[in-house]
Amino acid sequence: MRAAVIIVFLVAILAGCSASRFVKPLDRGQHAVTASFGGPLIKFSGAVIPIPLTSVGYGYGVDTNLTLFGNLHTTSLLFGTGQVDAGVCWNVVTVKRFGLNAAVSANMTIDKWQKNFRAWPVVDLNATFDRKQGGYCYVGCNNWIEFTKLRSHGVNQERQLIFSPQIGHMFVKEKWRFQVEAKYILPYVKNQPNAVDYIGMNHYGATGIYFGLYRTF
Amino acid sequence: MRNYIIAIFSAALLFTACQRLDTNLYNRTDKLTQYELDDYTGEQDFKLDASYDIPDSLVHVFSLQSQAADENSSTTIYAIYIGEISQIATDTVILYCHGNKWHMDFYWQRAKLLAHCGGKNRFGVLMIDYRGYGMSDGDPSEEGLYADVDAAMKWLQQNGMNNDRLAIYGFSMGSAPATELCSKPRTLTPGWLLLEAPFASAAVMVEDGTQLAMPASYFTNLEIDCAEEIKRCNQPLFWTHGLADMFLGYNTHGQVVYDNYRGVYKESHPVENADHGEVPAKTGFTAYCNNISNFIKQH
Repeated sequence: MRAAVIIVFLVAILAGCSASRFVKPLDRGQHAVTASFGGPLIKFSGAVIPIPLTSVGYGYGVDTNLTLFGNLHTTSLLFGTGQVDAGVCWNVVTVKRFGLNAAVSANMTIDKWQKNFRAWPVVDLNATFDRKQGGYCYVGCNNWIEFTKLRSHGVNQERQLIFSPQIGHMFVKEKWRFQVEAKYILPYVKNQPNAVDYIGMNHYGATGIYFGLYRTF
Repeated sequence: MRNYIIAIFSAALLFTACQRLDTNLYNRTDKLTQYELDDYTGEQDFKLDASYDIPDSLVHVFSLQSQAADENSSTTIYAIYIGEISQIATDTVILYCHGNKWHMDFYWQRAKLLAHCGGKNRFGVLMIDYRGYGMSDGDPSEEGLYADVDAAMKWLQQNGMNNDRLAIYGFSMGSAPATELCSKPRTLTPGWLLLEAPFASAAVMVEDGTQLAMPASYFTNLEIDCAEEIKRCNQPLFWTHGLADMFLGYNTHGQVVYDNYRGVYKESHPVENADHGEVPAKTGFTAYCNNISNFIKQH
């Protein structure tokens, strides 16, 4: 059963489904369109691949330290599930080349079949370091908050926080930006038993790799 | 604000495709042209020694016609009966609902083992390949699973079977038709329900996969829900599950089904160090057979 069911869950991990959004705010008045690809690594037909989650988005620099953004998750759409996230990114503090940035968003999902709606607050915290040329690197964490207390069949929902440390680099070249990020979803939680063969150290958590492309104007 | 959000979602959903992941659930091979049974050399969970051999005269491979309620025509599926067909009117028979993986050749050893529970060839065993599996025609579907197992019950009934002598055994995905047809009987109402490593529901699989309380409807239209169906089952329940099941978790799948049972009698057989598919071997074939035969004899 295992091999085929993995396919069923190609879009299953909506948590940790994209690279960190707008790690740093845009300039004031600046616009950006974005595309993201990647997801948790799984074993599939003997190979290790990232779950091919995709999304497209838009951001606008309201102020020099505040950006509004929204994203549409396109892989989910293919399967009749609408998923969007929207939020703000702001620069908390900058000291020389170091910065601390936060993004708070709501990830909202509904399916066309049973109209089940769920929303999860998501908080990203990232420390950034500006390189002299070519962009910046960052390290931080992504946090999904689950408010639901009960899973199906009345079973307690054990986890209220999906914590994922992450590290990445944003390559910046004039109007284009390219982002690569590695994430480790729930590194302290056993990833078995599970229908999905996640790749994690000693069967803990799920490692993921993500790519983002930004065009500013 | 709420209306605004709903409007945005509704607009987005207009552009969504109607892909569903349901058909990808089924794990089948290319269509077989024949069953090899003891000559099958492909992967198997275990292989029994010669003491479990079944005489050729007691092995019957045949086809059945299966038709779901919403279908206009029937589908040819294949079945294997172990035992004397002429004695179905007096024998106790186990209807074995196999798991999602592959076909009856893969499960042949399991069927032989069940035939030997309580003594050599003690029980008749009927096994089918669901539509789309093995040599069976068609494509699998949830309603097809139920219709195919019911077609097997019809065949048993035509050969003299009644409710009091029929046990139904579901392994993994096979727990879905086994539980469904005990909960909502069609042709026959089995007298015993045996579940090995049952699948609680699609919702549990999604929740295990995401670690979030996420609805199954985001991914699949499958309505398999043994954890709820079991509440309407009144047959004595036998549940066995590997404590090291890395696919369908003991706690999140099996235990939920077991806890939700409200019928007359239930017993559980957790198996140390057994992964999915390892329950008979890790229990020990003799102990496994004794557990099953004692359950059927005593309840």
